[in-house]
Amino acid sequence: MNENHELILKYLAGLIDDEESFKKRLEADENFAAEFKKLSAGMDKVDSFGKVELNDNYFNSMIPKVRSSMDKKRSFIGRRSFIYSVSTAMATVIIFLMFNINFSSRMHSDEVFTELMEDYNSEELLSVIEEDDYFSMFYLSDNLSENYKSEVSLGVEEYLVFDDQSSLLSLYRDEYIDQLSDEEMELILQKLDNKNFF
Amino acid sequence: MVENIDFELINRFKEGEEQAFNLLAAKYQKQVYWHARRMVGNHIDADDVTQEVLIVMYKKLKDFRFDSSLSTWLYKVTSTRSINQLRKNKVKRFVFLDDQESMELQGNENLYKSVEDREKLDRLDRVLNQLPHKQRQVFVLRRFDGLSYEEIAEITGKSVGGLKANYFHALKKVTELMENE
Repeated sequence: MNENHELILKYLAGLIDDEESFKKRLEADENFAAEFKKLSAGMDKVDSFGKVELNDNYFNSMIPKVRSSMDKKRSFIGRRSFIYSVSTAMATVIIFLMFNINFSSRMHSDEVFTELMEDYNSEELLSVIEEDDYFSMFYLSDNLSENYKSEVSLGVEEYLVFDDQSSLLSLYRDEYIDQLSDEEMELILQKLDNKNFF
Repeated sequence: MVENIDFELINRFKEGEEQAFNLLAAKYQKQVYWHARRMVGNHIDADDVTQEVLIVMYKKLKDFRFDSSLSTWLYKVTSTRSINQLRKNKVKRFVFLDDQESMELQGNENLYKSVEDREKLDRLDRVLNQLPHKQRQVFVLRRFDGLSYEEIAEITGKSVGGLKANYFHALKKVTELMENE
């Protein structure tokens, strides 16, 4: 980027004190005016990328979606408190891992999960899963027989005990991160920045 | 005039008229969505942020004291939530190796009015994703939302001088990136 470009961008950003001199040069100097035109055209192109419309259906359905989301939150508020408390505990474990794992080489996500899960037993995890909305929809539905429910429950317990837990837990991974407070997120990002991971 | 209408609708909502919220949400949902969309760079997160912001608006409207305009307050909430979302995504990508692009492809086939619109937004995302969060915020608020530095200062809590410097660095980076677009 040459000196003129820098000057033009400063003008566009409002960082030039003597705008009159800048404008006079723009009128008098053809090359400078051409550079100004070129940079402005680049910015106009960026603006044109932003001039996009979405189908009306999307915005027409927004308020019903928000209303339904608020209703759903109200009805689940009691049950959600448990998953939130477990998720917060999970978030704490993530922070612990971030601070204690040796970041000399980038870890694979499975390794992070494996370490994460060592601190949790299957009973706690089963409780988390039972609190999940989607799981509740299928598993706790009144239309299912008790026998079927206990079969599913047993299957989930076996899966948690004997199988690789990380794939099941990946369903809940966003919950863990979403429960982080701003301060916790800041600490993690600082830690990762210090280690030059970004 | 605009603020008078908002004032009236907010007061009607405070008095218990639920429909007043719907009118306010309908009025501001595009402002919220598009600010979030340009900040977070994908539809799924922007949709989440938009719903969250409208829910926050519903909850906080009863205590709204008109210290700023509703529009400015919504920009503030949307911007903060969008930056938080970007930070969370950064951690998620590191810990879980999330693929942002594959997220964007899920179920959005009918969202855009044309293929060209979809491509334009993809190109914009590619450029904006290269900016640090604070530069991206001032660039989006000034360039796309058309706000003055004074309005942006009210939203971000930063000085006008600092914002100008941030905007200059954003312009510099965007200009370089645009050479490849």
